[in-house]
Amino acid sequence: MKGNDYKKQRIYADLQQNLNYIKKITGHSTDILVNEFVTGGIKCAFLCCDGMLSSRAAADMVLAPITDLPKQANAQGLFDYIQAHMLLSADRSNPDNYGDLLRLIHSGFAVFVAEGANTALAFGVQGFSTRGVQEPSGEGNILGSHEGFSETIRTNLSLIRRRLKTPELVTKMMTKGSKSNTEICLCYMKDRVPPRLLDRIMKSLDEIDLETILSTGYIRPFVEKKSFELFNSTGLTERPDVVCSKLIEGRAVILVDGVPYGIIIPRLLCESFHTIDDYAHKPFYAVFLRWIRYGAFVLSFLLPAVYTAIVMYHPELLNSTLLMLLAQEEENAPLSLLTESFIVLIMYEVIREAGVRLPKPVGGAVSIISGLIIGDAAVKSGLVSTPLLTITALSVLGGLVVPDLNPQITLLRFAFLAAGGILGFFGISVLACAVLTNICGTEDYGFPFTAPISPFSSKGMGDTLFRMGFRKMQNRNFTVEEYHE
Amino acid sequence: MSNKITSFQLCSLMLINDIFVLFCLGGEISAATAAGFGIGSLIQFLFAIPLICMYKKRGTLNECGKVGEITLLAGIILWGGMLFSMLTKAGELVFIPFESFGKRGSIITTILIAVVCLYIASSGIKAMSRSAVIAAALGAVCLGIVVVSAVIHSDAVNIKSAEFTGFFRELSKGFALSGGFAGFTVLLGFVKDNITRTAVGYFIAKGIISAAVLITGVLVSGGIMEIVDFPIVWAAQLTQPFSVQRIDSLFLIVFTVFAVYSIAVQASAAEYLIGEVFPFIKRYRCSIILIIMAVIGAVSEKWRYLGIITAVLAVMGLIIVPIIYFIKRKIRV
Repeated sequence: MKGNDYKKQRIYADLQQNLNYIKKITGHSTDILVNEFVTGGIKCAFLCCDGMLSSRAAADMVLAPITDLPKQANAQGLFDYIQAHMLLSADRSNPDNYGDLLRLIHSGFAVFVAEGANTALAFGVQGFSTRGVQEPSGEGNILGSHEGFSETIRTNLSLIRRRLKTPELVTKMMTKGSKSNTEICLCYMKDRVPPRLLDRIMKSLDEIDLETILSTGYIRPFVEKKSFELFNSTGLTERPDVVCSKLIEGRAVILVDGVPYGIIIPRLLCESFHTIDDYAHKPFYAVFLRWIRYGAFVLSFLLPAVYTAIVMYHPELLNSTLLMLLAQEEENAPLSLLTESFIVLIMYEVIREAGVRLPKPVGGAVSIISGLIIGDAAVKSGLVSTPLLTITALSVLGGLVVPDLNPQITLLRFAFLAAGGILGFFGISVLACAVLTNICGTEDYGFPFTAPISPFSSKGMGDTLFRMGFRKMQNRNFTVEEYHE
Repeated sequence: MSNKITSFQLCSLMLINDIFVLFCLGGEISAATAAGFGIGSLIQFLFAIPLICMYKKRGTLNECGKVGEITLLAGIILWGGMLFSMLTKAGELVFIPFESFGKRGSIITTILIAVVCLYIASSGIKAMSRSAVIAAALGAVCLGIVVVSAVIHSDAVNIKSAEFTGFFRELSKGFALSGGFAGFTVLLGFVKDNITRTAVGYFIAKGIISAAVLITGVLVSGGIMEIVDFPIVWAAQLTQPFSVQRIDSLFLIVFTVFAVYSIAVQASAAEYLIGEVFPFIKRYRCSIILIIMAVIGAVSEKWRYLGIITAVLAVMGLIIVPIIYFIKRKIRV
């Protein structure tokens, strides 16, 4: 059997030929269970994928009723009887080709084929084990919901539907990946989403011709612009409440089966600094927190570079006391400040990577070794100066405030450090111009990433630099279409 | 995706260019210089009226023929060269690390700036103008700090100390440093908002900001005008808001950012014109332009009348383009 030839092949009416063909396609795979039986006087077969369906549900809801049917004239009569008189499952399908048939079997459906029928009957009795709804791991909050997406797309859809009980919420399910047959779901509010955005997203999704889709990273390049963009113009979230707020603003969300994240299209830079807690706190406190995040973001990639540039090229910016203090500390360091900075930053990245990859129980040991032993020893031995270590720690902490942008922050931190260390503020300024242009040039489907700051929209400032109260916000009727260029 | 920009974005791009020119302004300045620049803006606006009328009638540069476009292109490239030259001269004073390496340092600085300009210009006019607004806002904050501290440290006696150099001479100086008009002529066609309001807003802002920066410069460095090469840079260096630390580096940031955007905007406008005039050049347009500009910048010190030629070309571009357009339109009618 070559490639996907079988996908469009119509189901054989001869049961034995049918079963042999299925076995041939699946390579006699042991997890495909085939049970032949007779019901209604017709030879049938029950097909399922071991582990993908709930045995109990299949036995009680499908097998028990279906094996006790009155005599029928032929297979078509049998199928018509089942369809008309028995509600075995709410999720039913009638595949007529092997592509659909096998996809349903592999998705946990109980499938019936019968002698003389060139279609099949499929009943959704999925029962594979999944992770339950748990607290999001990366988007923590204090006052909002503690539910996060799980790996099962249907569960995720139910989490959204529970929060938006409106007929305007539309979910469009499709299958992508020629081998993985991954279900992906496009969600939108039909009265809010710009029709052009929807059309263009659908066109982008049509371009996907991958064999497998194992994470959101497989889909994002297709729904983002082809040119080099430092930042992602689509967002990720594992919070159903965030998805709902974005849907209400007229955005589209793509859910991928097997991934506990939703892709939000389009995403704006300022949204990386918003949290669901902002809307639970009083506006003045929410604004304060938001500004802290903006500040932390800038510090996260600029602080080491600015420190290095100041100490190496522009010491006049420091007051004399601080200058003397730094000079004293750096005097004892055996390496140049730039090299020292690079070493500390690389050291941090290695420790971080080790912390992420290591089994959880060992994670504590990593932090003890890195924080106490390496950090303390490096400073005491004079290998690294205390101010530099403080600056690096501050910078890294700043980056953690906006976890969404962490990959970009990490690279920018190194790039700015090199620019600042070699060329001082001149280098930082020149690089900042290039980075700023790249960020401002990020635009997908006509929605500028930097909106509403540039292009400026005074209306958008109410939930960007500030956070207006809900009494004002309820009359705002904001949709993302306002930022379209 | 349309390439339209807002009036605010165009004004930011052009004002960045104008302020950078003020930073690099050499020689003595006085209150007359501020008046010359201010009134010069008004006269320049009068020159721009036919151009505004042309764009209001939905005219395009394309309809004006190659003479107008080539004049503009020449003006833009020469002006870009002058900007490179200004950057090199003033760069040493604001402390760009490489400038201390002598000629080699200037070359490295020029190459770095050119590479970043190439990236910015080739990112498209929308990306450039959006980022220019943010750069202008940040620049305005830094500049605001410098100006406020300058006002605190200013001395009215300095206005009298500065040599009064004749109004018409200063007016012509203002014109000679208006090479950015050629770029303005091109970019005005990209504006999606009201053209008249954009042009009026730009010239008013230009006049006010130029006069304010120059007056501040005179107030601070008027007393030592005879011995300073770049009065505005000196003014920035002489004014420090804090007693125990200096903020010269803030000025370096503004200077660099404004230099990059000033050159990038010229490169972007020239790239567009090259596409119109020489459509057979499909690739490396921006690189070619920046190389020519950098070369002109390197050799321009020997060209005594380059400033005047550039200003004449820019003003001609401002006038010639609409004149050709209206003549052609009349003939067609």
